[in-house]
Amino acid sequence: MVLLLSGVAIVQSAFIFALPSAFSQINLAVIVLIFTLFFFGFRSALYAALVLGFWLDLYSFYFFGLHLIIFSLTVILVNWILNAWLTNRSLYSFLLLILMATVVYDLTLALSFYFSGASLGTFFLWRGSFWSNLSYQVMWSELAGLLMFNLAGTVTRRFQPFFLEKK
Amino acid sequence: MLRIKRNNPATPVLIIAVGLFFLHIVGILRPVENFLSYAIKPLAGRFYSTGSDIKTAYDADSNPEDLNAKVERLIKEVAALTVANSKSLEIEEENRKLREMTKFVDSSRLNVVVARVIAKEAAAEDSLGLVINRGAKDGLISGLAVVSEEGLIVGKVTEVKDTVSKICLTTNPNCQLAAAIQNSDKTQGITNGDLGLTIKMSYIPQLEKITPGDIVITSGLGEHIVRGLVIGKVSQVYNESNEVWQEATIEPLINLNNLTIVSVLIP
Repeated sequence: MVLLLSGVAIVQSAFIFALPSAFSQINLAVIVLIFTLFFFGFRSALYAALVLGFWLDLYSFYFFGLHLIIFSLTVILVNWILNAWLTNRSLYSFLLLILMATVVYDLTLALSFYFSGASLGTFFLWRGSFWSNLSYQVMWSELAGLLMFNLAGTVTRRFQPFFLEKK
Repeated sequence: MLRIKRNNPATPVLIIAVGLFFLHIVGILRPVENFLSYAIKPLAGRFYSTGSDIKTAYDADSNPEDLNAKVERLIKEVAALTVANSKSLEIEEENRKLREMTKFVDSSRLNVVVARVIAKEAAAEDSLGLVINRGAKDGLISGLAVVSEEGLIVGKVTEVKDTVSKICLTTNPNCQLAAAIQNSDKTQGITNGDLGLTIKMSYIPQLEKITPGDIVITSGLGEHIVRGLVIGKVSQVYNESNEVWQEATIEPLINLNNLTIVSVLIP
């Protein structure tokens, strides 16, 4: 599991960021985190956040722990949403969680860049590029989520939808 | 009083995270970090090259193929010729100075460290940084010039770790270079990136005459960066009569998004 997550972190920082601009917005790390939360639970997702955060911090030149904190925060917030707001574990819940996680991740990352002085000029919320990047991220993440959920559905019956029938 | 629940799943993760953070601050984690980053460098480099190849192929497919290939080839030719022209202009100027000066300093006597781009940093959108596979152990320090295969300056080293370094591109707003224009006035100024697309040259005195097409080079006034490295070509000049300074937009001569191999110049 640790090796797999390490691979995800390397693919994210070395491969995905080098792709054409629209595809470089794929946030594989966040998708994997939500997948882990959904399929393996809160504890596993937190450990996944730890491993992914450590690897991304290794190649990051911002302060050590930035990704670790942001990933953990994302998992905690999304887990709260899952428990407090969502009543089932359907595809729609999964897609909603990916949406929320992407937004939380992007906002916290942009906020930390803003407060650390790494981002110059206009406040990120007033920039069109921030919203277009976020839109691309959401679009790719939702597509990847859809694919992963259906793939998981073929492997395990754990998240197959069920219906209550009147007898 | 703050109480931590024993069964809270976040507790062990929090302890490990704080532990990692502490070990990193103290420096105990450094050998492990160096080993891990050294171990994955080849893999990361390969991944980056593949991603970059896909990007190049995708960009080529976005336009009519023949035309794009032709434009790409011409851009490379123009870049190479501009560098050659700029070098000859510099050599001419240098020769003139040599006749006047008794002491000669060979500005091209530089140590070159060839590096591979292994990652892009998840950074603020206007200050994208590239990570290269050379660090302090290879003699790199912050502020050194980074050049492309064609010899054009593409950025500078901004941060250095033991085995990897971060470079900023010339189109990055945080990347400042002391620059000079190859015109009759030998205009000097400061360049920094503009929206990650072009380069802006500022602090140019109003009376200096700049024309689109002028070549911009490093002035040599910046620490650790020699004179004469081509930054780009002036594409537009902004000259308001009520302003103290004028500004110019500079276009890089190569596409900075497809860099995979770069050289770091150590003076």
